Amino acid sequence: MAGDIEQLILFALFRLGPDAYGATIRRDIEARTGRQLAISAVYTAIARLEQKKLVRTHIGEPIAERGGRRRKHLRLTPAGERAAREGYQAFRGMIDGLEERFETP
Amino acid sequence: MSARPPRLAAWLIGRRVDAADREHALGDLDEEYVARAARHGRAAARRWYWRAALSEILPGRISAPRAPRKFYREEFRAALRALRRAPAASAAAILTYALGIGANIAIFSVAWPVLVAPLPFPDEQQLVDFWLTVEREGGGFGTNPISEGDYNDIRSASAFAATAAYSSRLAQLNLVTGTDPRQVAVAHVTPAFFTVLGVQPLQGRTFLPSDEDTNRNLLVLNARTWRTAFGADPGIIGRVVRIDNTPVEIVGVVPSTTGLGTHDADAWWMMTLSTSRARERAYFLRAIGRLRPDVSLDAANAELATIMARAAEEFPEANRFVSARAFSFREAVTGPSRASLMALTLGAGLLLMVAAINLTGLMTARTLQRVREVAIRRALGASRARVWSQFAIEQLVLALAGGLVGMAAAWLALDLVIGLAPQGTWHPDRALSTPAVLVVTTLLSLALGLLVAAVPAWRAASGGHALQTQTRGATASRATTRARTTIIAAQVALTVMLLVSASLVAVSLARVLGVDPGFRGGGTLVADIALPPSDYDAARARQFFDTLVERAGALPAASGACALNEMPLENDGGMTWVPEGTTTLVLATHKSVTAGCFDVLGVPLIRGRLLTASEPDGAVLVSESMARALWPDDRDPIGRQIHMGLPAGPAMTIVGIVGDIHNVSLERDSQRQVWMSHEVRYFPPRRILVRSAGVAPASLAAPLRAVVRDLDAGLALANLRTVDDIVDRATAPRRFVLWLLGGFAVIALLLSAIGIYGVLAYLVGQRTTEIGLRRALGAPTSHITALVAGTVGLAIAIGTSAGLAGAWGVSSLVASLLYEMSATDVRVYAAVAVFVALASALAAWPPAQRAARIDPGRALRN
Repeated sequence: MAGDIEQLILFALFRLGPDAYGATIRRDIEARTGRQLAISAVYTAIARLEQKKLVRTHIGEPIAERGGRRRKHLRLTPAGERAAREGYQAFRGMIDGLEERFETP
Repeated sequence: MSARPPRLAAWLIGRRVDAADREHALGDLDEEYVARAARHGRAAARRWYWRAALSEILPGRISAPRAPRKFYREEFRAALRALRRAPAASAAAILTYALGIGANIAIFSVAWPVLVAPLPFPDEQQLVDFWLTVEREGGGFGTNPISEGDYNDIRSASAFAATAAYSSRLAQLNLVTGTDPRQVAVAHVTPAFFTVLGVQPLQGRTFLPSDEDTNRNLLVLNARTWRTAFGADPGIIGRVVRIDNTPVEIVGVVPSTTGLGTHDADAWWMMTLSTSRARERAYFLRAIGRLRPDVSLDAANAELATIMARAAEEFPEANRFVSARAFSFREAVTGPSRASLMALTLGAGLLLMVAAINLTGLMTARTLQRVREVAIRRALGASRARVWSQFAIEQLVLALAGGLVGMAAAWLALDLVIGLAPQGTWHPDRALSTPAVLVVTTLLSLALGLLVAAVPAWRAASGGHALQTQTRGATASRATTRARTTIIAAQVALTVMLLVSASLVAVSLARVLGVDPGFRGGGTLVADIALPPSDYDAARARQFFDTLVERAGALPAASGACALNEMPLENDGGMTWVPEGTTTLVLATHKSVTAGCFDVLGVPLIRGRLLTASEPDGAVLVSESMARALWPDDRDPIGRQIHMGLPAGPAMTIVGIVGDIHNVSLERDSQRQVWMSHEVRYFPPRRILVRSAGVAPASLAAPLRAVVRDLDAGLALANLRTVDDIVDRATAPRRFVLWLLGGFAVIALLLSAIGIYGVLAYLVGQRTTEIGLRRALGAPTSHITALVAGTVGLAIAIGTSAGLAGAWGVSSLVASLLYEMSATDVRVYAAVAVFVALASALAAWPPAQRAARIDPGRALRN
């Protein structure tokens, strides 16, 4: 089972597809959840996902607007896709029947 | 090219991200920064970037990678392994911790109970103690005991909820419990005494207001006496004992701390005072009181001043220059020892700082040796926090071990410290409890350990790339050298501060020891003896002492004996005297003696004649300063009369002038004295002196006791001591401060010397190649020595200057401990500076020598 931030990253990877790297993931999560994650927290989570073989990474070319720094691109592995689905289903199962309560302010 | 994000913020963020991801993470933020700068402007982008940086370093954002329990157990094991690998360094660290912590625990264990802990009396801030104040020439006032009439005026003040009086001196009385009489120190107190203090009895009761009307002899026992003299007999209450042949009923037992601030008595005997306001001029009382809750000390003193001004009009002869004042009771208890304990606290604190700095140096050296270990651990994926925590845990283990050793040492030293402590500053029942000391030790150890671990551990842990960047150059890194010499300078500065303080105290002690007390010790035994007034009227008492002195002086091991009322340096009582035909009051100490005392004490006759065995006409001797005070116009005092107490008092004729003796303390000027024969009935002798004929004075005790027993089997011989003991005791507080402060200074000096040696030895090791090169190129030995010594020479010079300035800054703390010298005495400062320079040179010598002997060939081969 993936942790909170890891779970958010897995969902973001689904949406972003081949465009996924640190900055886009962070922006996506901020846009949808309002949470500004610390960059170190994002990379700690990515490192763990990698360790669990839920994502694969590759390093891109140096880019000028990044001060000549390279991107670390992410892609879901099949196991990562499974984990994201499981997370979604667990989430669905838990909130089933509670929607009204959470929707009413 | 668009502007870069703030560099400091970027650096901060970089620290928080694992090195492998630093590039990607900072790149991500740069990308976002550029986008935001384009949309919202640079300022907004910078603000955003800084917020991102702050959110990185603020707490609550750090994810805990593992369960903490397991984590710390592992780290703890690793720490123990690492410490075992370097046993010598670990032992040195533990010893240094032990010295720093032990010194502080020892001082804290004394200073806290004496200065800070509450007194064992409820609402102690309401307690006051009273003195009669006597105007002095040139302003100021002296404090004197109180007479019955004055006390009755004081107690009429409405500012006080209650007052009580007690005898200004302890009476040494003979208590017979079994076969042997024992002397007990008894304080006579009015019934309200315990009520004013708020003391609750442990057994039975204290005195009651209703006791005042009865004429019974009632006694309250100190718990200490109850245990030692009565075996803690539970049936003690109601028991009648004989004290000086008077039957006394024991009504209660009170805690042994009851006498704190008044008299540390073995027992309290109830006395009742008359309610008369008449001035009888017997100033034999002290008094305590409790302020009403709504009255301030100032208001109370204003009322006292009014009352005493009225009394001065009513009794001009006795009270013309006299007023009364209430003083804070707590101040009276803590005041006398505050200066020395504060100085010692400062000293222990300085030593702790020296120890901390020394440990920092030690730890830096060790972590630098372990650069490779750290690099490997980091390369294998250990986070910086993990590496740091391992170093921190190592230090904490060392600190706790050192703390325990230090506490054990403090424990053993405590008895010594208390033994040296001036009398009355310490009460065993007020010692800190063991758990309290343990808690303080633990906290101090942890704080010190963390402090020591903080700097070098962080530096070591930062060394992620140490494998690549490890110094391969021929010279030592400049930053490392600077850090190490800074450590030296700080250590030297603190040591100089300690040395200056200790030296000032030492010089003062030497000066006090050099003071001529005016009398001589030389193997003379002193013992207290108290004749019960019920059995001995004036004539019998006189006869008793004549016989006792004669027989004691005739003992085979004795070369002289005498008796007198009070030993010098053991009391500061005085009485006024009036030159014939005047109303001038002159204060002097009165000594009533048998004729032999001038010989036994070695008090020299200046002019006239000494007292003889019988002086029926009331002949007296005055000391030189008394002669000048009585007749400042240089009239010859011999043959003139003085009146005891007041102009109407008994007249006595001066037959001779003797030398002054120090009666109150060695530091204060010799006080004026009047010597009279013990036949004068007011002041019966209470001390017997026997001068030894070459044997140890203590061996005179048994034969003297036999003589006394033979004369009166009911009399106890108490408080055996020598005249030298009395002089020693007068300097005890000074020696107490000096031993401890001096000890701290010596330890600090040793630590600093070790520090200097260690740094130089390390630098020489680092620079072996460089020095070898220089030697190969023809540098002379002196040049090499100077090169090595020069690295620390400046640091030592800076440290010494800073230390001298620091000592000057805290000089006011030791000023009150000094005798006839300034706390900024240039000679002492200069001597310390020279001494530190020499000690530093001594410490620097071996490494410098080693450097000079480096073989160029070998150095270059490495």
